[in-house]
Amino acid sequence: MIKGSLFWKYLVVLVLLVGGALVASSLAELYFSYEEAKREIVALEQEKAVAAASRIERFVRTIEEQVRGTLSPYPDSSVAVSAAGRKDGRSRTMAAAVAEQRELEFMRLLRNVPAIAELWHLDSGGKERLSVSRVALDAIDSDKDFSATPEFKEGATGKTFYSPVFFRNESEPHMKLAVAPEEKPAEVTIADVNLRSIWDVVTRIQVGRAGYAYVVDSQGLLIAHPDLSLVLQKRNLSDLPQVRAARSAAASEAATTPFATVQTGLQGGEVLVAYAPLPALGWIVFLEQPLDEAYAPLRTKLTLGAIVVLLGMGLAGLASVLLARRMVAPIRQLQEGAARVGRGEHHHRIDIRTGDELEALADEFNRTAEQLEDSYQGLERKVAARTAELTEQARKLEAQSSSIQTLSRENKGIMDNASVGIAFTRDRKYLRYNDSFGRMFGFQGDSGIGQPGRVIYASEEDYAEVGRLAGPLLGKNLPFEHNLFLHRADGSNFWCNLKAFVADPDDQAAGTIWITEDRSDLKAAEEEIKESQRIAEEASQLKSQFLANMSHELRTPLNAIIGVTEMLHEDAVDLKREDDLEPLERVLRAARHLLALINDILDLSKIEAGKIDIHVESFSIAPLIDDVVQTVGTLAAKNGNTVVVDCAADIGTMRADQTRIRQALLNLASNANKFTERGTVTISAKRVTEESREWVTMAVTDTGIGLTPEQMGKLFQDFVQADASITRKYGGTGLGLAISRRFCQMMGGDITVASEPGRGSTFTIRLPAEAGVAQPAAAARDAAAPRPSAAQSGTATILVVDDDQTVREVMQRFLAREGFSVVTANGGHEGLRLARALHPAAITLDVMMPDLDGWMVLTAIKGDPELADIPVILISIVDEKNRGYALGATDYMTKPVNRERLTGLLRNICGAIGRQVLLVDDDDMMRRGIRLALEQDGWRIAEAENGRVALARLAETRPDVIVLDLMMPEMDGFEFLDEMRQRPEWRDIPVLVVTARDLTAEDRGRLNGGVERILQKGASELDELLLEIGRILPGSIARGRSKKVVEETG
Amino acid sequence: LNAPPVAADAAPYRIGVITEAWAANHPASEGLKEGLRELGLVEGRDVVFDIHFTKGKSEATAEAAAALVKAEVNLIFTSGEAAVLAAKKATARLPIVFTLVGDPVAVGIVNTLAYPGGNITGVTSRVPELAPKRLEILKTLAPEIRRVWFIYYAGDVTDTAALGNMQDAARRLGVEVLGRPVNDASQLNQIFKDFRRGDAYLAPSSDTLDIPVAIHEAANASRAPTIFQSAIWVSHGAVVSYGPDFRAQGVQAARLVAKIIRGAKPQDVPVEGAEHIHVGLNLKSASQLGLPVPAKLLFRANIVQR
Repeated sequence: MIKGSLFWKYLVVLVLLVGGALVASSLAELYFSYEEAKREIVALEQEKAVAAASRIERFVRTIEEQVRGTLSPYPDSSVAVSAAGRKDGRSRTMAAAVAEQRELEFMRLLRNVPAIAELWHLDSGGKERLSVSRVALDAIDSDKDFSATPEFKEGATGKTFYSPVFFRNESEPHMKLAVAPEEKPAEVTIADVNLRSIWDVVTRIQVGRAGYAYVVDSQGLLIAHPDLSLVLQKRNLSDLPQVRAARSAAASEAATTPFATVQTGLQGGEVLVAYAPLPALGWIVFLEQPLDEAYAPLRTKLTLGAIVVLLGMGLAGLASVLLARRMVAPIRQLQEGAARVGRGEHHHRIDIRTGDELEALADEFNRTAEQLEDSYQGLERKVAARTAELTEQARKLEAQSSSIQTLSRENKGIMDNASVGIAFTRDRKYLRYNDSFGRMFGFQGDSGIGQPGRVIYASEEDYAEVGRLAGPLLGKNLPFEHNLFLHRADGSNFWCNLKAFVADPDDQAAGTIWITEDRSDLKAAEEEIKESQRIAEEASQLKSQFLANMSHELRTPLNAIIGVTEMLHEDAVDLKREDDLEPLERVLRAARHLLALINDILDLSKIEAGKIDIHVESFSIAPLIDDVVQTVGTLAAKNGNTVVVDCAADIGTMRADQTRIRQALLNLASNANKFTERGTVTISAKRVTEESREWVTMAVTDTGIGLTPEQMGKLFQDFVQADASITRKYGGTGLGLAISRRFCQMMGGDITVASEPGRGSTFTIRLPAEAGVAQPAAAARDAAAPRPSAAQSGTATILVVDDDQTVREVMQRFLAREGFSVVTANGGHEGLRLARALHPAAITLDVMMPDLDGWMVLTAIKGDPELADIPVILISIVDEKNRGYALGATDYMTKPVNRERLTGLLRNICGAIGRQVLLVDDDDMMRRGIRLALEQDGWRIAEAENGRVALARLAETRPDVIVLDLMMPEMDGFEFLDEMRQRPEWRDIPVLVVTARDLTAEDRGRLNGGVERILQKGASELDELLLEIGRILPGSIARGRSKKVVEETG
Repeated sequence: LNAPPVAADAAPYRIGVITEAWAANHPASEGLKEGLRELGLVEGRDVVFDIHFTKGKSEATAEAAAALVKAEVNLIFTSGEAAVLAAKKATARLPIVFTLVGDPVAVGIVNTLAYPGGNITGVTSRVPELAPKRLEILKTLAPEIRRVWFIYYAGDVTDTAALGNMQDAARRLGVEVLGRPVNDASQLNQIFKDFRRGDAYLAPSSDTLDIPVAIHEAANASRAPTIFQSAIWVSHGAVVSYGPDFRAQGVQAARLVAKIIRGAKPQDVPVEGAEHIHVGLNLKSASQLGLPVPAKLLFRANIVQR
């Protein structure tokens, strides 16, 4: 996260810059184009309205022009005029000719212009001179008076007059149009025009899908609309806002300015209205389009715009990521390079080719690294020179001291007369030795002086071993002793007791005094003991062999006897040979009894010999009870007994040897049924807690013959039944109870009995629910008592005692890796001495050792009050757990050693020894809960209610682990961690965060490093949480420690 | 209302046509096709026609109408009174657009011209309305005539109405209209016997009993001026005609059909009067009859046969 933060910063800045600019410009553009498009739509609508208006106007204008064409004076060039003139006589006046010409013109108009329905010509007095029609009869000089009509009055002014629209036959729109020549008094020509083609013009105006056009005349009357029914209703639309607005605009000077507006449409709904006036006619053309439809292109445009912006943003984001990555990459390279140089790779150079300040920075950095490398080399040279000087001085000093030694010759006399060999070494060379030492190792006079210490050892390995064992002891000014074969100059080896101590406790470098004693005689005795031990073991093996053989040899013929007898018995039954039945049954009974007896004897002897193993496993109790009840069912039925089971269904599981428990319970249940007739046998199981430990009891109660106190006393003895007479009556070997009880005892439990003669008995099996093996568990508990001496050293010391060098090496290596400090001893004596000298946190002890075997060492340790509390783990090829436990071993492991188990065991032993926890939490209840839970496990607790107090506690004593809450007043967990990490000596203390806070990614970033584990307060019950803490803490410490080791060595 | 032409992917709009013509290419039908084409409705793509012509048999129109209703056409277009009556009888659901109906209100096809009602609209040929003008044109061409024979099928309401309409004009024009309703073709010869020199014929609008044909033949035989209602007769030798152009009526009716195709209901589409009222003139026949053609008639004539 820290490495990545620059990248994110760049990314955010780039995205904000690029994206922001893009969004801003896009929004602006979108806004302007939106406005533009809106204007365009409105303009388009207006154009359509204007176009429609101009079409209508053109239609009316064309008719008007054609009507105007008939106005006098007429040119006399017309063929028709001359033809008419010829025919109807010369007397005709010019006026008559004109009238005739006009009639012909009118006819032509009717032929050519279908829209004209009728034509009138009025004289200047408003009298009708001529009228022609498609329907009515034509009239000439009818003198019909039109003078009062608006057509005449308005038409006579010379301007074209347009009448309001009227309807013929209720359905045909018509308009009268009056025109007159300029001169006055004017003759007026009127045309009746059918306006239906205007309807077609209007109907055909396309205004989108749902829009339409309509026309309103000067009176506000709707005269054209695609829906003709609206027109035929002769609706007056003067009150419609758009009509009112348009008409008032038309009335003013701005009449020709078209406009568009949003209004409620003619047929309801919001519409975009555009209109164009026809100023001459006073009509107005309206175009209406539903707003939705009109603005649909706008919406499309907006959507497209939005998509483009989003795409742009996406691309900008991508570009920003790439750019940010490019920018950050060289910086990371720099960081990495710096880290490598920091780790001591002074030759490392950073290669950045960005051509900018970063490259310059890298170059600068490389130069610095070069200088650093140079100065390092200089430093090394100086150190070498200095070392040489010191060596020289040391040599001189040594010369001086040897001259002093010569002064103490009287000491030599004493030394030479001693029977043991005495030698003085310094720097692993013999400086002096007495005569005995010379004789012992075959040195001629002073020929040994100056020889390396190695020469007296049988092998390089022995020499190294002694060095390794003696080093730590001598380093602490402790004496060293060891038995081993040493080497004479003549090549022979002899068994020797070797002792060593520092010559001057105040000056370790002064040298070491070695005392050697020839113990060839002792070795011989030891060999004898070993031999007799071997013979004894052989005898024991022979015994086992004999038992196995006997069981086989006895059981084979017995099985044959039983099998054949059963066959004979069946035949006798079939053949009804009553006389034979009884003897055969007797043979069968005797043979079966003999077989049971042999089996039991075997079991018992195995137990005696420790040959029976307890296989502890987890199993459900209820099915086991059921199983036993099933098995004794036949027997119960035979004796007319009722079997009652009293066992809760949810009694759960226990850990023990299932087979043995079943055997024991079956034995009790069988006995109960055997000694009860027509009674009740109750089998009950319960779970009880006693001495803070869970127990499972299984009781078998019968209503049988019962036992006297005397009988009860003998009950568990081998081969004893309550009464000798019982054997005859009820059968059985009398061994079952004894065996069952041994089993239960092996599992840490027992069998007890309560009874009264004639009132029945209750036999109760009582077992721990978690039956490791009882005694050893108790021993481990005892051993868990705090041992300050071990705790203070920071790491726990384990003493490994084994005569096998390979084992020692392997154990040392892997235990060291697990964070333990390891001292090894190559034999029992050595082990004992080291145990006394070092008082280790735990001892692993090999059983089979040549000098002093494990049993003796264990006995010695447990017999010494100083050492008795050191947990000892026996490790051997032979499985003799019981003996080990009996002697007080904490655990017993067989070779090859299960490393995990051993580590776990040692961690349990050592981890609990007075480890200190600093508990930082503002919640009193929480602190108390955690403290109680941890104290039970042997932790020492220091408490702090916030970060500041915690820092003060840290300064007082350094804890092994910190349990930290995050949310606290004054100084919270984050700040505390920051402070703590500032100090190198605290940096490696493992921290377990326990918080109710829901951690964000940022929080986790801040916690990164130094935090072992984060536990969520709310996530589980308090009990579980405490359990979890207890479980995690030892591991945290171990990891913290191994990390530290790595740091120191790496 | 302003919907675009029928969508390209929709099935073509099916128009059934009933006429009493002798062939499928009656001018009104042709005018319909032309008018629809002008309005952007292409035959085959947007519209298809199912034309039933009954070869003058008015009773066969009912059969044709039933066939079209059964064929589920989208609209029935008719020419002539019998055809529209048959269609109206056959369906009250399918839209019907008529042409060549002299007076749809009088016949009872529509309620009023402005609000036709029902499922019918169309173009009226304004027979009774134009009757006086027809009389005037006949008199203009043949100023000498004193009597005009109007022989028509007695059951035809339109022609009956036309006769009524002519009386006032006859007085003003100084002619006598001899209205002769007939129920049987056999009565015609008896009537023709009363025809005298100086008399003229005004042919009826209805083809029933083939009266116009009989009049045409009688007129030719007796060299009598005769005015017909359609310019078709002029091309067959009749001297003059005054009345709506058949083809133009078809074109005009196409506008109504298009409105209906685009969603209008027939009852909301007012009945239109025929727009193109044509004067037909046969100059050859006129000279054979010894009738000089006045200039104003010549100027007025839309169709002139020489």
